Amino acid sequence: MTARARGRWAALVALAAATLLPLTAARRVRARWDRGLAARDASAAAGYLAIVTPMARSGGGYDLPQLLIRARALAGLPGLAVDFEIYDRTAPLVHATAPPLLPAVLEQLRREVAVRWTGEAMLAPLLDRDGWDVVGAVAAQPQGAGWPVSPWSFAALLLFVAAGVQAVRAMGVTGEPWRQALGRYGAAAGLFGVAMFADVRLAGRGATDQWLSDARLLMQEAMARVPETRAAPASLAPIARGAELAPADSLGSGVVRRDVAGLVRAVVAVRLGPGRWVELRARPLEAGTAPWLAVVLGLAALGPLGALLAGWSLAASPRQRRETVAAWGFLAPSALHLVAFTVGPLLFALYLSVHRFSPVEPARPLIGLAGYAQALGNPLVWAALGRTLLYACYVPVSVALALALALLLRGRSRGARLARTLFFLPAVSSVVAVALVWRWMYQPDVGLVNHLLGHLLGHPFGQLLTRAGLGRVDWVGDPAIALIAVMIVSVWTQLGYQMAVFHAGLESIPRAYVDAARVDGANAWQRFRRVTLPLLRPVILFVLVTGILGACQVFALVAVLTGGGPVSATDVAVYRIYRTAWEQLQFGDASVLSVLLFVLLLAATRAQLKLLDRRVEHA
Amino acid sequence: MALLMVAPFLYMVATALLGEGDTLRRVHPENFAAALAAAPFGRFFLNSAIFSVAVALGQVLTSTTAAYAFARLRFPGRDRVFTLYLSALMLPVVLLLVPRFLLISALGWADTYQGLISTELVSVSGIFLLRQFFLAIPRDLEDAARLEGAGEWTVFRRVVLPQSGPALATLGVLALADQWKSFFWPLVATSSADMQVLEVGIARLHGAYDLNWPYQMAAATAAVVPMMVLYWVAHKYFMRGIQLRV
Repeated sequence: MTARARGRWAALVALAAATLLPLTAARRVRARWDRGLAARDASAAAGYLAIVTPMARSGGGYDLPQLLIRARALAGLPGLAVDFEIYDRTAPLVHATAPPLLPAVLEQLRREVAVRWTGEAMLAPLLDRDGWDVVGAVAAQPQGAGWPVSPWSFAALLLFVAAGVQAVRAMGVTGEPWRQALGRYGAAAGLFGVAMFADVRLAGRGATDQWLSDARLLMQEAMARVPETRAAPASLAPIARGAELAPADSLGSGVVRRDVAGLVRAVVAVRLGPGRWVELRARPLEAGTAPWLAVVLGLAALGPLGALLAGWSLAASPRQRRETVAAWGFLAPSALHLVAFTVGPLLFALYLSVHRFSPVEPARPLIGLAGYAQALGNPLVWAALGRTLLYACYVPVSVALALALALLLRGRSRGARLARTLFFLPAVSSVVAVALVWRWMYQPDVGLVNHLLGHLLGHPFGQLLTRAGLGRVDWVGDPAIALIAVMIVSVWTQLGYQMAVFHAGLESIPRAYVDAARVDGANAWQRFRRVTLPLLRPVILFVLVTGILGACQVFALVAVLTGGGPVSATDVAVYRIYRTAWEQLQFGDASVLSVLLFVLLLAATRAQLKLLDRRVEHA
Repeated sequence: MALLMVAPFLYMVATALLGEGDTLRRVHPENFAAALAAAPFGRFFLNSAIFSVAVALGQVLTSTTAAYAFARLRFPGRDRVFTLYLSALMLPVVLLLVPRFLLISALGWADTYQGLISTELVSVSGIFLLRQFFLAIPRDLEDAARLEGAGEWTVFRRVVLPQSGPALATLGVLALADQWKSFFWPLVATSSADMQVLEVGIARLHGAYDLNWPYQMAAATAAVVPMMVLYWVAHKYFMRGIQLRV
């Protein structure tokens, strides 16, 4: 086989998989739902029979002739979605010639008292009136599902296959027409996926509706036969097990979808008498189908992906092919991890931000951009974002200091090396420990900082400061000072690291440049201004940008040092997000704030890059 | 000036040893024993060690392979994929925290080592660091091996890995130090005292013994000392990491 034929075959196999797998998946879901419908109808019928059939006078089960009549009437009801068979113990009542139930199966029903699948029908136990003993069984067989796909899905399928075949035919032809065909192929795959998803959703909707209307039919039958139940609708609850009964107004005859306390519910009204209604509410099956869209789209995408790979490998040289395969092998661990733990969560965060979402509440309604509007209208949010930017202002200060120190401590002497090592210590130590130490040092009465300040204030100059009101400072307890106190600690922790970065940057500048400037008669300041600084600019940019990115995300320091206080004086963005998510348990609101912080970070970074770029132009 | 940088550490140890009143005459080592008995510090230590070592190993593994692919192999869309990787650095950690927590909860991994470790196994900055390193070493040896018909995996294992010991050690040490300091994710991902890492543990102690400063300083010392030792031993790797980033 030639390479071209091999490529085409591979693409065709991918096409076959991309059509058959979504079809199979959809079929399986629908079969599962049909079975679920049969199970619910079977237990509804068992509940119905228990209400309407009188017990035998002799005791021990239902009155057999009555049960026979009721069973046949039930099976003959028009509009039911399943075929019923009712067994009195093991004897079939509806179709007298049908095979009896196996005694072992009845025994099992008696032991487990649960609905089970026999291979072709759902079997529900028929309990006696008191619910004590299993006296028979109700079998419900799903009716043939009709067409396996809806007409529009079939049309989409044809379109998809046609586009696929066209793309495969174009493969290996000079001029690479397959690249154009691929776009159509991908679009057709998307269409097919969406159509299959619509099928699945509709099947779920249909199964829910059918069950609710079957349950309503049986409840109405029960009320017609046993009029006392009209006065006590709760006694009808066994017919609609799994649905909720609630008093209601008339709703019309159909099954509708309605918002009940923030949750979508399928609702149908049952008339008890003139002006008296109850409604049955159930969680619709289609409510949980959203993941299926991803599944069917992913399966349908196999076709175009296969064609893309086959087409590319036909066009590529063997060496290119080998390297690409190897590269993706090497990338696989990190790429899969990023998809699962970064891209996925990112998308989910966006999803959360447009929902009201709390882990302790079942209702998670879509609220659209209302969360954003609320956050942007909240002055406290603006204050937190502004405070975050204000806090980040320590970064330029510490960068300037670090640069000065790096220039000062350039030498290779023991002293300079020791100093550099000591300066770096805060960068490697635990943030929580640092915060604890500084909290202790900041104590107003016994802390080291005020103690030293006190010594300083003993001098005449200090007494001047005391008069200006700078006596005993309550560093982390005074709302006016707390943020500055946190910034001081941040400078202390960051200084050594930033200095080390500048040191490395300075080391990488060739001595020859500086020497040349010196020969030209430039003084120390000119050498720094004209040679070192421009060469160091990328490093400065790096330290500034990463420093501000980090500063805007400060959390541990604030959490331990000040706890966001006093009076929210240090309530920075991330701390606020933390409290929204883990103290108020508002995951949706927290995601909104996180997205806003992300936007702020992007804007801040862009602004810095722009600003510094312009300065490069002027220089 | 350098003294100013070290003073808080000295003060921390002094408070832990001497107690609060500055009577410089008597040393109270029992402060340490008492503070360390106030919480399961052994367990915190073990958790921190397991967490940071596992993450550091994982990051070295995933970063080496990815960095090699980006630095040495040619494939369609390489630069675009690399840019995508780098853009992950722009994401604020807090944005991913809630979804990641929900993800590990859905997997049944909340409050377990799997949950704690799994989300941290890839570090984009680690990939960037090693890519810089691979770009800087000559490729003659690799090309020679390729000419002799070695596959990419063989080249990677037999030629590249043996040369990159120092770079891997650098990344390992940096990742270890980083994860030891990590506070936010462990705070969110664990809930029981048995699973808490040292950072979260001493932060909780702070809540319980708010005004007992010698206790708190003893706990802080316990958290800082391992990293000081690591820094002492592996000083040059910290500096090499910085050189590679610049």
